[in-house]
Amino acid sequence: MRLLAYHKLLCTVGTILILCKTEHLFAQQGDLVTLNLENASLQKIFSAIEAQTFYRFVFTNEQLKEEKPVTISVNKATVQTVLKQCFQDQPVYYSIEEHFIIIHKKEKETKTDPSEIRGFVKNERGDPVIGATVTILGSQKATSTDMNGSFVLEEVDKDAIIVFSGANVEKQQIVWHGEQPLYVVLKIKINKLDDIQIIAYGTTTRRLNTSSLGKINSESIGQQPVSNPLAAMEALVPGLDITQTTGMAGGNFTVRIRGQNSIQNGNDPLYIIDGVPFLSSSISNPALSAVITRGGSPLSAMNPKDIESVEILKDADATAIYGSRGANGAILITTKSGKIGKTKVDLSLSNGIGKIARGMKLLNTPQYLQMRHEAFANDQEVPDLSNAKDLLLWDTTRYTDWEKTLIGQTANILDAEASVSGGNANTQFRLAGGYFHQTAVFPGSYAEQKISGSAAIINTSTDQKFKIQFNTVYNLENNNLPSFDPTTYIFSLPPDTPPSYDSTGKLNYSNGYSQNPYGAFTQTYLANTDNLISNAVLSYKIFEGFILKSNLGYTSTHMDELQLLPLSSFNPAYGLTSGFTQQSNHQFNNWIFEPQLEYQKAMKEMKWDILLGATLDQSITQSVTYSATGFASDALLQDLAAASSLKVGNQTSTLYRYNAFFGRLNWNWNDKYLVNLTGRRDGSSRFGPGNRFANFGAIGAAWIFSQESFMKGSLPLISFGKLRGSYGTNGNDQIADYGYLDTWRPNYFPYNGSSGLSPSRLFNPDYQWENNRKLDIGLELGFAKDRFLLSVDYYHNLTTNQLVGYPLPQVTGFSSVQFNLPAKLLNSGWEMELNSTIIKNQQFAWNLSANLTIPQNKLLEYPNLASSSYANVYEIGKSVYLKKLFHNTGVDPTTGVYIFQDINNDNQITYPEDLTAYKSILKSYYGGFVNNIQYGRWQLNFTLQFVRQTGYNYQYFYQDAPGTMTNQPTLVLSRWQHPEDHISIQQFTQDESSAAYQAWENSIVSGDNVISDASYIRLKNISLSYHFPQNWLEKNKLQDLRVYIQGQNLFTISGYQGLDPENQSNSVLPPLRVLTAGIQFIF
Amino acid sequence: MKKTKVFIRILFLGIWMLIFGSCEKFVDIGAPNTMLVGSSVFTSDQTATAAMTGIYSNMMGSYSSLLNEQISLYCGLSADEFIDYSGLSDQKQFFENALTAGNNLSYGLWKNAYSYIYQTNAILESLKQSNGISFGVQKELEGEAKCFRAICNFYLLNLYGDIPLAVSTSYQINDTLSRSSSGFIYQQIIADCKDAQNLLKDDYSFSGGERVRPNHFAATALLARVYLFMRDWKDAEAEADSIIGRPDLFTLTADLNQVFLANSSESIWQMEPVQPGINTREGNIFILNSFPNSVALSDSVLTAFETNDNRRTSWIDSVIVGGQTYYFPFKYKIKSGSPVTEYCMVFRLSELYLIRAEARAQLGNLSGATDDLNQIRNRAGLANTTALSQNEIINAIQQERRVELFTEDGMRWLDLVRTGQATAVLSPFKTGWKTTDTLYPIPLGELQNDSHLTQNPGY
Repeated sequence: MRLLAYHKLLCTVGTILILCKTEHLFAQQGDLVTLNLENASLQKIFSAIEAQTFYRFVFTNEQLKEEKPVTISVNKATVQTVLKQCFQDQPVYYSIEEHFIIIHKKEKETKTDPSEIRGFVKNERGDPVIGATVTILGSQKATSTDMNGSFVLEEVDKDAIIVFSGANVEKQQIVWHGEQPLYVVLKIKINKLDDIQIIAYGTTTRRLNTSSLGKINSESIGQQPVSNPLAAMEALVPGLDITQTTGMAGGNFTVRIRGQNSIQNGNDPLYIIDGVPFLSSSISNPALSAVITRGGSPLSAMNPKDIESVEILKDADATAIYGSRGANGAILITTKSGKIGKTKVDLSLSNGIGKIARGMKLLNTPQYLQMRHEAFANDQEVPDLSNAKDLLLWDTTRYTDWEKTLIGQTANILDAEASVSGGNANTQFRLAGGYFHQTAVFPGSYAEQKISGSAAIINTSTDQKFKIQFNTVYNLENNNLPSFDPTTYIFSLPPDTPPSYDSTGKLNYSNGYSQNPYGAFTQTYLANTDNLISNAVLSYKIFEGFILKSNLGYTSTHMDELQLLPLSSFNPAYGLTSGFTQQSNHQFNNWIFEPQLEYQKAMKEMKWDILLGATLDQSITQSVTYSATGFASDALLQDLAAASSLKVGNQTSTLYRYNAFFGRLNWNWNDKYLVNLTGRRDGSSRFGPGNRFANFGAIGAAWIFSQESFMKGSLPLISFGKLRGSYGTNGNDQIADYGYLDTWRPNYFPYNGSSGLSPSRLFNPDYQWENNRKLDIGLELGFAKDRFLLSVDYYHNLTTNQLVGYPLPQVTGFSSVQFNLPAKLLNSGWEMELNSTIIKNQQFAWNLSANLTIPQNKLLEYPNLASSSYANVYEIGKSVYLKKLFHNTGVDPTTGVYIFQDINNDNQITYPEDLTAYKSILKSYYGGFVNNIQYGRWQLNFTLQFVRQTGYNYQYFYQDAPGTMTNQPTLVLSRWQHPEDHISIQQFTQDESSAAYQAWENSIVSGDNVISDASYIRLKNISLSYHFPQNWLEKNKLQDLRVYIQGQNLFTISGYQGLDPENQSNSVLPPLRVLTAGIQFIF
Repeated sequence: MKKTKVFIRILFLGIWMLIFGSCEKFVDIGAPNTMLVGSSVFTSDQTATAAMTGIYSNMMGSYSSLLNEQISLYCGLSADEFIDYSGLSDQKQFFENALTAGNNLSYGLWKNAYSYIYQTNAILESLKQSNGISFGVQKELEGEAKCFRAICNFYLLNLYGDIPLAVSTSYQINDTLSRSSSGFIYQQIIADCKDAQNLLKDDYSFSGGERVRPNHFAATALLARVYLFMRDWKDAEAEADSIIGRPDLFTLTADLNQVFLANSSESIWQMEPVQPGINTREGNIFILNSFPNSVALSDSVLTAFETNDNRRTSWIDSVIVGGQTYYFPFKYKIKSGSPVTEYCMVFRLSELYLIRAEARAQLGNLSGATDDLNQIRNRAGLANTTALSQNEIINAIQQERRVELFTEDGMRWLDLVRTGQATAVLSPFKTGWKTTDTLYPIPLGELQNDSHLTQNPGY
């Protein structure tokens, strides 16, 4: 039997490799039998089989004495099928050696033997526990579970105590009362080393993986009061750099894994949700969403509570299997599924408040007026109506704190979640729903609402051969925001602005008060998104260790944006006669089909795991925008039919197809030496003919040296030690579709009665894949029985053939062209993570994990940099975050004007000759301290985030110098006023042609004084919860009752000169500080 | 078992097909269905014409783009025509002649001009290789493209000085261009204008009788202006002659209020407004109904008019806000609303009279010069000029240009610069005026992306 199976297997593999006809795969010639017999003797059947196949039977007549007659009718069945039928209930059994079928007499009747246990061992997730030891307490008898988690133990007494133990599971004892078969569910061991880690097309453990991975579990994400899961992932994983670009609901995040590999664009990681690729940037219309949500984040529609785990794949070993899409790392999101056990109902409800995390002190009216008058005095000018309506026409006794008025309100956050989950050994399910509602910090009723539903079903056939796993998530997000970010106004509006409404209750635009923000508040931006992510994994075990699997996924995202600009919201000075409506509809559909064949083989000392697969992936993105005006009334703005002018603009439809072929070979010798080889051949429709296909691959290896006998005992403190390394290549195809084609787009407005066409871009038919070579070396150590786990990684990523939108002078007609840059860019760095169980006893446990990333970025080569567009931007041997600037040497004590270093001594500051100062906008290191403290039934978790960086300060974001009609931070009060003032801020000025103004322009455009320290330490999140006592719960028939408070961004320590050091802007809402309280029931 | 086998076979067959079947085909997605590939644009008269129409549509569909308000506003601020009330730093820089290389508005102007130049180059290159386009349309489009390229280069040259000259679509060539000398650029402009003259029809039949696409006379008008700027008086006079000599097509309208109406008899080339809800952008931005939120006319424009000049009353209006009077250009009468009855003027006959007058005066034909000048003066309700000497006449023509062409496509600013009077006229009331302010700075972004470019002096 075994030999034949093996033979078949070889044939099968051979067949795949040499690709002979598929019929040959499973039915060897001469293997099929057709029989039609009634009450026949076994001997008769044997003859019939021998006649039709090359099999020969070996038996004695004595053996067949007690045979039972057989009735059989099969047509072209395999020999095994026939034999299985014939040998049911016979006193004999058989084995196959090559082409001999050998008949054996049964020693005793196993079926009726009451002392034999047949059983299955699974873990909580429903996965079979392989290689678990099964022993009978107090006896020598023991066995271990096979690939299916099944085991057989003979001669067991009733009520014997059976002990199950294994590497990844917690030890468990069970009293056997004679159940047949015996199903056992074991808890997964809490040892972090044996934590299951999801990887591309499979799983591994922290102990056995050969690559650099980070993991965030559902607890870390679920216990934060956030609407976008990305907000909960900051500061948790080394090498994962997440920046919240705006505090606006539904806003965008910048996510970088191990730095910026591409000089310009295409630095987003690959997102995979349950095996299905997901959008890395929003499909919204940038013309509408850019100023509000900074483009938005596609993940914001996702419910963080639906997430079971997020794995961050960082190095080539982990990502090479994603080939062309893995260059910037991958983020795998796994949604929750049911667990074996009693059906559980989980309800939770929380409510809280949010405010901006950090503000800035701005001038009040007297300070502002003083600045203005001083500016005019410095410029030796008299205020007039063109430059000083704030002084001449407005009531200068008024004061409005615009920061408080416009972004200082309190947001209300409500989150309700419900889920039902459970299952038995064969079927597990989970159904969940959630509702999230968050209002804004602006005056007016703005809110983000999310409704999410998810379902997950896993079914395994009783024979454990067929498994189906289906996950689906559906989200509805409804975001109602003003059509602009009000933060802009807190700097641009003088504090003595006239009242927002006049005496008749109308918006006030008199006396040149043209920027009334309340006009803009009556304009709305509505973004409705619905999102369906569904995935089915079907797997069938053909033979022992041989699994055929297919991953089928479908994602559909639909987004409608609506911008309503009522006529009443505009300054009447514009003389408009109607309001405007912009409606944008976007649709993204993706399907993916990934057939895979996996072969696992465990031998005495080694394990093989071979995966072969293919990917077919298609995305269609469609978008259309309608602009309408000519409405008779503002009340009709939502009715496009009521518009006298309706234009269809920006209709796009793009198709993206991706085709790949991949294989992976994993070899494990005694859990000591591990080798992982991956390869992929990729084709992407984003490249021109001839450039569409490329090969990628990686090798990863690990040596668990703590398994070596010389280590055991010699260094008792070290309980685990692993050295791993990987090297491989990745590609990047994050570029626009059709970029290689010379395309012309229809114009928006017809002219002279006909419509126009315009070129949509410069095209380059020849660009190719970007090439990313990654090296990673990691050391993982466990101390004191793995209570302390330390992992240190060094990575070295080289990007060549960079695919960039190469910036061009506008003389070329466009600002960039898709281009392979000959530059070689190095991203290297150190990542450290320490997990420690500082205290653990019944009453008190404290888990501290700390992570630190020290990234480095260097431009290694750039042929002809000096004659390229980047000549004045980059420098070989320096970081690409470098800025070449004029060096501001301070304020001239006699003139009160900034002085810049004039390196070419021409008595003026000239570009690019005087760019002498080099400063970088980068994080020199970042990380977090994650604390989980449990005291009795109290649980306290908090994360401290720290970032050491330089960034643009408030000055950079100003268009106008201190002294003009814009409000300024109180920092400017320490300005130069009199000769011999030695001060770092120059005099106030309001005239663009003054020397001081020109100096100020130099400083904001290219001065080095606009870059300063933006480091910060932030209490990123905190959660305190209390579980009710067990006896109280039992009395009330509850499994658990928990009350909690959760906070985000509760405090920030930073010397940053600006609104918020994280998103660094004067016009974008800072991240919010959120505090919520909630209650959770489980029954 | 049997079913499973079938399932497995199908799956394997699927994999097999994937591997060797259709990989290449699968990822070959063809062209997008919402766009046209360049080669297919230039296969029919209709789509090829659409490529040229695209330029006009882009220009008129933008909020502010070159001939559509942009030059009128910026140059009007740089000269002595407007006072800035916008409070926008970048706009104020024009008003205070304190432009910086980082000025985004100036960069926007530059960008617009070069994107149109690119499109004209793309059209010219494609037309050469095209089949299926009728000879007539091919000639028309080549002519329009050359005329449009010439006017873009004309403005770029006069605003920024020596500019990089882009005559192909190749970014590999264009991204390393250096600045060409003004003489060289003028040669190109003249060649384009002359080609356009030869190629384009001398009527408005191609645009259905509407004067909204450049024809032979638009190219001629541009050429006349170019020769004037080059001080090539003879040619300027000759080109102006050929337009003034066509009273069947062009006559000065008697009523000043009708000059800027769509297809007025005075217009040689106008652009049709396409944005809903308004007529021209100039009308929309310049006409005031309350405190100015962008610009208002300066006192120096108001005092430039002689008494009894009808243009002072017909082409200028005012609004009183809080006891203060703000004046605004009222050449275009419609601030907003439909239908469209006014077109945005590019060339009109009175400029040609003034060009010929100046050319004649420079050539010594003083009576011819005063005749032309008086045509314009008489239409405005003014008596014949009293200027006698050549110098006086030339000065009188400059004064006439100022009050006739105020706030029209930057004529005042370009005249001050070309005649070398900018410093003398502007420095008294523009604090911080420098002689180098007559040229705008080459935008910083261009310097960053093309290291062959150099900055103008003073920036």
